[in-house]
Amino acid sequence: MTGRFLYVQNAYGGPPPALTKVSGHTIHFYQQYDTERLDWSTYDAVLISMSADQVHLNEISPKLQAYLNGGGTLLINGHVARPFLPELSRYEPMEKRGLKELVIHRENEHPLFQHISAESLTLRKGVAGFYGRGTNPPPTGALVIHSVGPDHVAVDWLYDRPEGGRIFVHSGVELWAVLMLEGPQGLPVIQGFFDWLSQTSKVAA
Amino acid sequence: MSQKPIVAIIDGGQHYHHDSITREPFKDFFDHVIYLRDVAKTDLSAFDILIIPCRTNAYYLAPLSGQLQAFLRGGGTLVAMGETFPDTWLPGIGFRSMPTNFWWWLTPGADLGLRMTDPSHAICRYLGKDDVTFHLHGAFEPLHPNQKSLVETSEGECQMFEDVISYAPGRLVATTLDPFFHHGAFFMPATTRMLAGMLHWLIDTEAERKSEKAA
Repeated sequence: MTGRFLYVQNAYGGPPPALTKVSGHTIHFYQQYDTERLDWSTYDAVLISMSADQVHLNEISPKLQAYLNGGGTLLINGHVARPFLPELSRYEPMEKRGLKELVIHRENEHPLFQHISAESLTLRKGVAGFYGRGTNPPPTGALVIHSVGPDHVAVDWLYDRPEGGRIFVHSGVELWAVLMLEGPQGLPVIQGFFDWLSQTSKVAA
Repeated sequence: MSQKPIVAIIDGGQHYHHDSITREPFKDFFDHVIYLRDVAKTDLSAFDILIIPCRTNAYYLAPLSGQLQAFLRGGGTLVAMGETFPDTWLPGIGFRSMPTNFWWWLTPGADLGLRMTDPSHAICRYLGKDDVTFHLHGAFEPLHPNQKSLVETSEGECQMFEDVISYAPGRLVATTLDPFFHHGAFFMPATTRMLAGMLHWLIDTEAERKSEKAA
């Protein structure tokens, strides 16, 4: 199933290299302020970069919510510093802890992560801490997929909104970068994201 | 008697800008925070130092080039941090990107090879090799004769320069290193030290520059 995706970029230069290697789907790359004039309603998912301008996202929050209400999926990377949807709260960094405590836990199995283990996410080249070091606190009813540390604070969560649409949040460095830190073996994981998002999309083709 | 310089910083809306600017330990360093899309309507002449933090989107700095150069020519200090690509919005800056090596430090005894270029420069009272060593994104090449290298690799590739000539009496400081990003993402303690050192250096030397000018 071919999906249509919008990547909301806020950085100089080209798109994340890994996303140019995704096959079978169409990904449109736009600088963030230019996405305002686009019709989002035909995208299976809109991907928000960790470098997004969250002041601007607040300004266009009605557009984000209308897109979600129409059955869309928002995939949000990074730390929420200025909550731009009612479902989001400000990022809470973990207390400073030793790297050995930055263990990623799989709280619930999910098809998005069927190609990679929590152990592998914990240690990138044997180093802990890249994947997540705190939480964008999830709303009540969200499915927590990954948590971090002794307190199991949510790093990755998926929320099906009662009003329609769904929000996936990764509380850390851009997924398309962190999954590629060990090289090309990250690609099938990323491909799996796009396949699943398109297969389960509620956006009318 | 030197006056305390007025420090302004641009906020590009990124989370790591907001968290660097509004949280301890740096929140009291910034007298004014200017949202990126408000810069064009802001009178920059009210500020002594204007900082463009790491990864501010260069596409939106380019239309501000004339305003930023006027700020420099008016005597201000403009600071372009890592991944803001000043080569794309200021004339006379050369830049060569490098693949980021995240893993050099996993080799026992490894040294990324960064060093302070001129041990007699004032910045070395504030920053040392360990404070600027995290990873590389690129180098300023070719370096213009007016651009004095402050941090370099073991091969002499410039990672930070100061230019007090091209826009005199203004001062341009640029670095390829991106501590605002890492500090603001609560990652890598060296980047917090680098910011602390840079901010104190900029503020102390700005006060000296201003008192010299007044004398």
